[in-house]
Amino acid sequence: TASAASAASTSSGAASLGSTAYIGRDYTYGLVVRFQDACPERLQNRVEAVTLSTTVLALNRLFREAEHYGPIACLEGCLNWLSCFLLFALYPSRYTRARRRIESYIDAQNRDVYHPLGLHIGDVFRAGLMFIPIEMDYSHV
Amino acid sequence: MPRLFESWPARTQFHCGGRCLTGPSPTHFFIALALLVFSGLLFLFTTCGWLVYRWHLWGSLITAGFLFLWGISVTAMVRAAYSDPGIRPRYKDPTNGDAWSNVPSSQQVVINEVTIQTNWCRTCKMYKPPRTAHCADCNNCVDGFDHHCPWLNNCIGKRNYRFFLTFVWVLPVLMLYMGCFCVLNIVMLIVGERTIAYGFIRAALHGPGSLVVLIIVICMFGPIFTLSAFHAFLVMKNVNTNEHLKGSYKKKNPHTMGVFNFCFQLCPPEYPPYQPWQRDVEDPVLDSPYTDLVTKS
Repeated sequence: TASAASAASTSSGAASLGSTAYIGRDYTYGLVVRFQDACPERLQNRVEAVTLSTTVLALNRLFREAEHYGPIACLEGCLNWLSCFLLFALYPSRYTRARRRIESYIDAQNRDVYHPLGLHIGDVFRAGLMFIPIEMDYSHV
Repeated sequence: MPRLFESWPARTQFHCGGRCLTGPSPTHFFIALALLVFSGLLFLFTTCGWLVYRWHLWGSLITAGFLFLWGISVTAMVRAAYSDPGIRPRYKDPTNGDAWSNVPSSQQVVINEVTIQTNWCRTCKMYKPPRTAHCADCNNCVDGFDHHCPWLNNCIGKRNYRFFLTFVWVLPVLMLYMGCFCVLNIVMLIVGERTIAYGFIRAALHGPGSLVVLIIVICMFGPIFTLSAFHAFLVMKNVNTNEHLKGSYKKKNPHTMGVFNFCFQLCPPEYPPYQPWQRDVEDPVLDSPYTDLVTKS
């Protein structure tokens, strides 16, 4: 939509470099990791906006769960403090478990949806959680 | 291919095969750590020894309490000094070194209905996201940048703020704890003598450890308590040291969380590092996503 596109251009928006398109962060709800729902111009011929939107919204939900801070997260944090910060040597923290879910979701989306279209969603964590890099020259090997 | 930490172009120092990182000059940190460890050991072997000798049960309990407080201070100090504060990746120059092109110097971002400017970082070649600032000592952009602590030789950022807060809030408690029992030791040594002068001489001869610890505690308590009160004030306002000094959020703070902030800053989610320091990479700097914004002047 027009408003989403203009929001994309004023924010750290949907830019493109040669063979990679980037979906930027959406800060309207604060610093929680959330990506913009707009489809970059470069990808508009390659993928339907609905498909991309589904992926981005699912990632937003997974990141929101990773950073979710409720009574249990607070309790875990207090136990971590009391154990001189050794608690998460015993079992993976909430964010670590959520990170594995995010990575397996991206792998599944790549395999099922994006590789057939010649696209590849890159490593969101390597990009510093600032962009979702979508490479546009992916070919099956 | 080298590992990312071996080719990282900043003044950060890496240890243990990329698992720990710290800042450029470790001298102050070793002095501070030596002071804490030395005074703790002295207290343990002199005052605690005397306490256990006088009162077995209470002495043991007091020693256990001291060991917990001291253990958590040293752990927090070491982790604050050696953990990744949230160093952001760097990007390549979108203009490719062309002196006649540039990108806009700032972008507007709307957070929680407050509009702020995000500025271009000339070193890291990106628009600094909200709450990210560039540290001049380490030459990195750090997320949630609070300040660069010379006594810990590391930046304090989003990922290690809780270690810093723990250190700076437990240390005054530890100092009061040690100070009280040192005073108790010295007073009980003085009380048995005929005059106060003989009492002090006896205290210096039989309890020199307590005297030394008491002197250290009295000297260091003032600055440390000031710092811990300052950070209690900042946590209540949910503002960083950096933002406080620059007056960024005087009018409206888009990050307020109220009293809940105390728990959240001490026990936040376990954010992962932004960069995989131990991974083999061809290029430590990422491709720039801003080439569309380059304009020729």
